[in-house]
Amino acid sequence: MTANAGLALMSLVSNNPNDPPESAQEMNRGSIPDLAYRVLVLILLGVVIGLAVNIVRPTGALPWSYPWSDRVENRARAEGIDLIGLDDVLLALHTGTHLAVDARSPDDYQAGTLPGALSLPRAYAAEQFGELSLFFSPDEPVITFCSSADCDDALLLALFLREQGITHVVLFLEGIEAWKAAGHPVEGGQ
Amino acid sequence: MNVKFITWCGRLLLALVFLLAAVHKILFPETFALNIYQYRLLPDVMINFVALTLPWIELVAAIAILCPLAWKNAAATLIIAMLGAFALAMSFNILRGLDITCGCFSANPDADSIGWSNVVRNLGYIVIAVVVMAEDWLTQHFAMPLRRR
Repeated sequence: MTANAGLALMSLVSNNPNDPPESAQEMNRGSIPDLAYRVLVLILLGVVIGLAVNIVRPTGALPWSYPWSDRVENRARAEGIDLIGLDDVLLALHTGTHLAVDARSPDDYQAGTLPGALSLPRAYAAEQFGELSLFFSPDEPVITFCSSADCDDALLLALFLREQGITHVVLFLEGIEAWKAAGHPVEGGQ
Repeated sequence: MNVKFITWCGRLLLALVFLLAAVHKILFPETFALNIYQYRLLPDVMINFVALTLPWIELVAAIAILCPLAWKNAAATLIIAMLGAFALAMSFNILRGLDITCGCFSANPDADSIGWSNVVRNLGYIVIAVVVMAEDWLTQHFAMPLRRR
């Protein structure tokens, strides 16, 4: 297998379609097994180079495996952002103890958001925070949310707000999808 | 214009496309891994492996398609398989309404969402790769005969 792969790699740069066939392998060229073999060689070459380069990456190797499904939660915990569950969000909004901030796009916000939520899209947070700063108080707790536990926007917005001096920011990780799935009302945005 | 010229243009185009597609992913594998995750088609345990190896397979295919006959056909086959898989993955996610970026040439999370134009573009590249593979057949059937005085 290794010798065959070596021969195949050498022929990668040396073969000439006008040369007469020199071996059974040359005679076999163009057949489906030969094509499959060469495709396999190309794939293996890519895999070996990719894994080898990762080992010597100057910025550090990417781990072979990572719990991507929990990445937002893991990062929130690492950054010291507290999480808030669905029932607590319902209570906080009902009693008015927290300000809810929607980190999604304006279109998503208009389509339906948590009752009383403010729109501050993560992508425009730096530009729009100045205009909306009246709504924030350093002492009032803020809940950030986006669509689900798969989106980064609410966490990134929580980190941004903390940088702006909002000391008590909590993340509603499950987001608006969990809110809707639980049958709670949404409103068209303000 | 003869068949060889047309297929050479196709080979150069595919090589350029796959080279451009590979470079960004090789430089930023974490971002590409996140992009793969957002397609929600692979289990967590496979995502980093694919993010680390797929760009290099694309790069190898981009180089091999410029190589002589047998390797050209192998690279074209591999390119057709990859483009077909990408087109299926995008179609599936468009149909189930996922709002994600393509991740084809850039993994910028604020890039435009995937749409049918991405799928059509991939199908166009597949047609080019099929023409490249069929060079011999096209030469036999459509090559213009030389005129002699």
